[in-house]
Amino acid sequence: MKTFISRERLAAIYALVVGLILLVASFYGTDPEVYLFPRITAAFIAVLALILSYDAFTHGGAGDKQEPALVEWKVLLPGLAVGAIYVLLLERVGFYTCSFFAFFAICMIYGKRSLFDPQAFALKLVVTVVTMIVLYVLFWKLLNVRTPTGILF
Amino acid sequence: MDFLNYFGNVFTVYHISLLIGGTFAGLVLGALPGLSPTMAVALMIPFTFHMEPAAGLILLGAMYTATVAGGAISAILVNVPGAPANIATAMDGHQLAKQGRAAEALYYCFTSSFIGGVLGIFVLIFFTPPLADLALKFGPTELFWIAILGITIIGTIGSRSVIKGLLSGLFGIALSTIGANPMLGEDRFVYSEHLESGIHIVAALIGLFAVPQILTLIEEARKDKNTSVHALGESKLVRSVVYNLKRFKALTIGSLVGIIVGIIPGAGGQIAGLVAYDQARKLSRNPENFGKGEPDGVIAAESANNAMVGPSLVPLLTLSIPGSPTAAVLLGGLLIHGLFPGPDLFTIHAEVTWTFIDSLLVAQVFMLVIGLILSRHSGWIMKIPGHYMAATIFILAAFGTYSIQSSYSDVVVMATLGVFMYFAAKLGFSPAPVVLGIILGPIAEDNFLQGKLIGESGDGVFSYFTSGMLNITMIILCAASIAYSVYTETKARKMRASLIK
Repeated sequence: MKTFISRERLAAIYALVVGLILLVASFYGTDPEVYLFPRITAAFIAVLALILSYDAFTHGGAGDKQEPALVEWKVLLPGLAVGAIYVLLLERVGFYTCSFFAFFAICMIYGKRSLFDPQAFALKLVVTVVTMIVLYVLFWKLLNVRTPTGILF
Repeated sequence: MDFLNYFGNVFTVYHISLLIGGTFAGLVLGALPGLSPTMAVALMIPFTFHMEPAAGLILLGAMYTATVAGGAISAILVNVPGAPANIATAMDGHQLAKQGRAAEALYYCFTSSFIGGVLGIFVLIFFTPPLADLALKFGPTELFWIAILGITIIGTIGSRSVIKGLLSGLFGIALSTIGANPMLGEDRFVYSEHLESGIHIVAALIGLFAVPQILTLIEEARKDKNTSVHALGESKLVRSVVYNLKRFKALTIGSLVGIIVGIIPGAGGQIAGLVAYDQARKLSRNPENFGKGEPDGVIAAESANNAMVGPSLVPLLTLSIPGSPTAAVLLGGLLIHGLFPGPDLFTIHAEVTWTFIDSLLVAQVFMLVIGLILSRHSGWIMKIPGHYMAATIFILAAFGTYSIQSSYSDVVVMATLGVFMYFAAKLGFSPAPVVLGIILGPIAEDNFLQGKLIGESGDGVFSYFTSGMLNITMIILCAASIAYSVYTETKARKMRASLIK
C-alpha cells in the first residue's frame, strides 16, 4: 500500500517551508543594503528546495505504509514536554531545582523498570541527587558560573 | 622545528592532568554507543571557555583523539560502533570477540590507533605552516571563496545527499546572519529578545549535536536491544602488541589512507576506516578471512581513523576548512578563544598553537596507555542505561550553554535549534554543514561585502570575484566537489534501483 508522503517528499516540503519563510523574511519590508547577504542566501535555499522538491515528487517515490514511523510521538512527546517545561521554568524557578526535577522525570519516564518499583525509584533518586551535587560543585564552585536561582534555587 | 621549541609547555602538571582527564573521558564517551565524538567535543567546549586558550585546546584535542579510538570498544564488544569512524572496526573486531578474543582485538585497536595517530600528527606538524603561509596571499575574494568552498565540500562530500547537504550549509549561513549587519550595524531577523545578540557558536554547536542525540537516546531507551557484551577472554598484552607491529602492510595501508582522507576537507573518520578496510582486504593474501575475525581488518580500520585526526586539522588551522565534523566543532573551540585560522596562528599565537599540536602527540601516548588499561575493564561502560545518559547530556547541555556568557537566551536558542535539527536529521539533513555554515557564514559575509565595495570602485563586482588564479581555482574546486558528489549519488541510486529490480 503506497502513501503520498515519503521521507524524501517530507524533506522537500520541510526545505520549501524554510526557504519560503527565509525569502519572505529577508525580502518583505527590509532594507536591501542591510539584508543583501541574507537575500542571496535565501534565494539559493529556495532554488535548492525547488530542485529537491522536483526530485522528490518525480523520482523520490511514494512512501510505504510498512516503513517504520519517522517519529515515535508516543515515546517522544513526554520527553519534549519535560524539555519545554524545563526551559520555560529554568529562570523563574531556578536552574538547580528545575534540573533536579527534569533529570528525575527523564529517568522515571524512560527507565526500563516500572514506575512503581520502589527499588528503581530509590536508585533513580540517588543518581539524581548525586548528579546535582556534582553539577553544583563543577559549575557553582569550580567554574564560578552563577546560574539564576529563581524563587527556589 | 618550531614544534620542538614549545614541547616543554605540554609537560606541566595542569596540562598533563587535562590530557589524562580528557583522554579518559574521551575513551569512555567514545565507547558509549549513541554518543558521537562530535557531540562529546561540543559539550566540552563550555568547560574550556574558562581556561587559558592552550589548556582549553589541549582538553579538546585529547577528547577528539580519544573518542575516535574509544568508539572501537563498543564496536568490538557489542557490535555497535561508538562512532561512525568505527563502523569498519566492528566487521572483524566483533567476530574476534565472538571467538573469545575480544581483549586481543582491543589491544590491536589501541596499538594501531597509536601508530596511525602519531603518523597523522607528524603530517599536521610538517604540512600546516607552509599552507598557512599560502593563506597570507588571500584577499577578501579569496577568503569569501574559501568559506564557500568549506561549506560546499562538507555539504557535498560529507553528506549522503548533495542537495540536502548544500541546503544544510546554506541554512547555517542564514542562521549566522541573525543579529547585527557587520558593515551597517543594523539588526536583522531579530523577532525575539533571545535573538538580539545573534546565535552564539557554542549554543548552536551544543543544540545541533547534543539535543538530537538526547531525543534519539530517549527514543531508544525502552527498546529491547540485543546488546550482550562478549567476555574479554584471555590474551597476552605483549604478544598481541608484537603481533600488531608485525602487521606492517595493514598498518601502512591504514595510516596512509587515514592521512589522505583526513586532509580532504569534510571526509571524516568513517570514510577513512571503510576505505582502509576495503584496501587492506583487496591487498591481503587471505581476503576470504575478512569479516570472519581477521586482525588485519581491525588494524587497518583503527590505524586509519586515528591517522585521520591530525591531517583533518591541516585545512582547519590554515584555511578554516575542517577535515571532519569533529574538526568543525574544534573550529568553534578555537574561535571562542579568539584564535582565527591562518598564518597568525603560527606567528602571533605560535605558543598556543604549537603547544596544542605537541599535546596531540602526547595525547596519543595517553590514549595508548589508558586505552590498553581500560580494555581489561571496558564491559561496564556498555551497561550504562540510555535514560541516565540522556538525562545527563540534557542537564549538561543547558548548564554548559548558560555558562558561556551567562545568558538564558543562549539556552532557549540551543534548545530550539536542537529540536529543529532532530526533525531535520530524521529527514536526512546533517548537522555538520549547518555548523560550518554558522561558523564560516560571517567570514563569507564580511569578505563578500568588502569585496563588493572594492569591486564597485574598480572593474565591477562580478569580475573582481571571478578573476585571479586563486579565485578561479576555488570556484573550480567548488564545482568539482558538487559534480563529483552528484556523480557518486546518481551511481549509488542506479545501483540501488538495479538491486531492487
